[in-house]
This record gives sequence, structure tokens and C-alpha cells, in this order.
Amino acid sequence: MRPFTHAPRLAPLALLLLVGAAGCKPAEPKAVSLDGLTGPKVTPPIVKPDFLLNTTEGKPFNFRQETEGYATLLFFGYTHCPDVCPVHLANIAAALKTLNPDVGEQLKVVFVTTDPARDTPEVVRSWLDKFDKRFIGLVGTRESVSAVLQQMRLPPFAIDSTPGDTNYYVDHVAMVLAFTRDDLAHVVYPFGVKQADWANDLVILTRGS
Amino acid sequence: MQWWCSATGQPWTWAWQAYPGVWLFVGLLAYWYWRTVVRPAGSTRGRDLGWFAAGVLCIWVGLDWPVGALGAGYLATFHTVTYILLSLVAPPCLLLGIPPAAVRRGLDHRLAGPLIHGVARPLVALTIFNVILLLSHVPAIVDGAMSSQLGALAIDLGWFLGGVALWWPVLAPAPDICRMGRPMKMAYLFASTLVPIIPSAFLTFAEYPLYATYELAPRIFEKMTAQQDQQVAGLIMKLVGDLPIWFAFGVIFFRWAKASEITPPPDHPGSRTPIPSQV
Repeated sequence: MRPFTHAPRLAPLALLLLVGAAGCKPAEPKAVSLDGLTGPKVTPPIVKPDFLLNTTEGKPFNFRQETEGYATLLFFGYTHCPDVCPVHLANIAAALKTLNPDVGEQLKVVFVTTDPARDTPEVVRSWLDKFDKRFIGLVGTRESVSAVLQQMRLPPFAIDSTPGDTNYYVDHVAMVLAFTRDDLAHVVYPFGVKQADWANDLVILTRGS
Repeated sequence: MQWWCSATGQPWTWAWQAYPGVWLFVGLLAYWYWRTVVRPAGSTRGRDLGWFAAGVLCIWVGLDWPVGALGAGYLATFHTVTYILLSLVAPPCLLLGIPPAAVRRGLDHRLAGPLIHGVARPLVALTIFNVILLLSHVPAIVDGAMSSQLGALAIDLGWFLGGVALWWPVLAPAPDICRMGRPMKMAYLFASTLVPIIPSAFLTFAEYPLYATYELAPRIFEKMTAQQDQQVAGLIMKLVGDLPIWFAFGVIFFRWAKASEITPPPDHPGSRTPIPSQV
């Protein structure tokens, strides 16, 4: 089995692309205080994408509309991921448990699978429930998820498998995009964010949501 | 191939892996025993050999796959198991396996002589052990060290040498090297359980995981979070780590009590009878 090493390496490239993507549309000047955030800032910020995918319950989910007015963490990954994805989600979930419940109510965590073949809605739901039942799971075809990534100028995901192979890795962007109530992502979180930092930043990100 | 267990960030696999550096270290210890103890004496008591072999076995288990590898980069619990084996279990076993004659030969050595006497001072030994213990549990030091094989080796060696220093005043093979009486030895052992409360409490009661090495490591057991792993590590460090010390305390106490029973009062003519053993 080939060790999973690509996702973290894509992070710097993705950051550059994100900066480029953010330049496509001017940011709306809504006042959001970002003082004290530990996550790396993106200048100019990234505009929240507009896409429609299905939830794990089979309902259509319009990302822009459903997350309006909430702080939103958007993460692309897959349930068979051996390292980055479970650690990211586990740390966000653990940090949320230590915070005031208001923070959780003002936050939406959205996970989009990059492995449509293995990640059925049931599989994604069951996996997310291990971390936090409030996490939203979105599934779509390979093409529709690729289109979402393309919309944000993020690197495409790559499935490294041969026909019939069910034990494979998926190369994908390893960062979490954090959108604030102004529908912009001023910060992104590459792999390696600790629970203490999540706890600090989630309070700031949800402020005023 | 890695020669010493360190954090790699790779997903854990239950497939066996070789760590030649660990074998070399264990082999060097065995060779040292053969050259310093067995060969000059011509023969060795089975009991001595058994104790020393048990110590070497503890070191091997603590450093090699899977315990050493799990502790180096995946679970704080196993990191603590390695600490206990290297600092609190292996050193007393090794010291019990070294006959007094071998240590007395070392006293004449230019470097080993002063070291043997210096570490026999309880305050010096306790300071060495506690400083190593505290430094080796500072998050920045752990995260910095465990990501490289040399750093991980330094932590492991520190624990082992700190453990030898801790046990030396109590179990120095030649009793005349350290003249602490039994009550003092018990007080010393009790004192040695105090400082470990600090890292143990931090591990057990911290609101968030302290070490990025274990917090960001690929999970091995889905149901055990990084926080729970750290809490178990903290509890093991205190509850299990203290067992060898309290065991030694108990042995010394009962020997002391027994010796007090058989030793006649000072005004008795037989009071000059020497106490058979000081341990």
C-alpha cells in the first residue's frame, strides 16, 4: 500500500490558487473582526462558493443559502482517509465539546466527500457521527465535486486506483476553509491545527454569526 | 528503514518493522555485562544473570516494535509505558544483576569512579532523575525530539540514565558506596514519587492534548481520542509508574522491620552483631 503523503504537499499550491481565486470577485466590506485568529490568513479573502450537492439524508443542499449567516467550515476529504481527514474532524469536534454550546449553534461544519465510489451517504453519515452528529455530509458525483473545487480554484482531487481496486488513497486538498458571516474565508486551516487553536478560533469565527 | 523509533506521521501498520539501533543498544548492554561481570569472574550467579537479563528484556520491549514505535509517534499511553520500563523497571533489575565486585573494579576507573560516588548522593540522584523527567515532558521538547530518530534516542537514553541515577542510591551493588540507612532509603523513595505528580497531573487534567505528536498522529483506535489517550498516559504514569518504587519501599520496610526484631536492644551484650544486609 502506498503511504498517503500527497494531501499535505498540496497545501502550499492550494494556498496560492486560493489567493488567485479570491481575486476573481471583490470582497464585500462587512465588518468581521479577525483579531486573535491562529489560522493563516488569506488576502484577499475567498468568496463562499455557490453549489448544490445532496446531504447524507438525500436532501439537496444549497451551500451558499444553507450556510448564510453562520460561520462555516468547509472540508473536502474521504472516509477511508488514514490520517488527515479523521484528525481534522476529530480535533474540530473535540474543540467544540469544550466550548459554550452557542458556538456550536452558530457554526456549520460541512464535509464533502472526494471518494464518491466508496463514500455512500450512509457511510459518510456513519463516519461523521463518530465525530459529531451535527456535522453535515455532502455527496455528489465525481464531476459535481470537481466542479465545486474548480469554482474555488482549488486543486482537483485524484483517485489513485486501478479498476476493481477497493483499497486506494485519494489525493485531496488537506485544508479546512473557514467562512465567516460575511460569506468570505479570511483564514484557511492546513493540516496540523491543534484542538486548543481550534477552540480559540471557533469562538472568534462565530462571533456575531 | 528506521534505526530508532520516532514519529513519522505515516499511518500505523501492524506489520513488523526492524529497528537495528535498538538491537545494537540491547546487544551493547549484554556485551558490557559479559565483559565486565561474567568474564572477569569466570562464572556468574544465576540470580544475577536473571536480574540483568530481565532488565535488558524490559529495555528491549520498551524500545522495539511495537511498544517503542507506538510510543514514539502514535499514542502517549505507549510513550509512558516506554518511560516506565526504561526509568523505573529496567534500572533496578539491571542493578540487582551486577555483583559488588564488578562495581568495586569500576571504582578504580578514572571516570567511572567519581561518577559512581557522585550519583550515590541521594540529592544528586534525585535531581538528575527529576530534571530529566520534567524536561522530557515539556511539549515543545517532546514534539521537537520525537520527530527525529536522534531526538527520540536522546529522550530514551535520558530516561534510562535518569532511572539508573534514581535507583543507584537504593540498589548500588556495593552497599558501602551509598551509606543511606533503611529509613533514609524509604524517605528517598517516597520523595522520588513527588515530582512525577506534576507531569502526570498535566497529562490527566489538561483541557486539550498537550503534544502535537500524538494529537495529530493517525489514530490507531477509533474509540480512543487524543485527549483520552493523554489522560490514560497521565494515570499510568502515576499509578503504574509508582508501583516499582512502592514495591522497593515495601521490601526495604519489611527487611528493616525484620532486622529490628532480631537485633537486640543497645544495652544487650550482643548489640555489636552486624546487620546482615543493608538493602
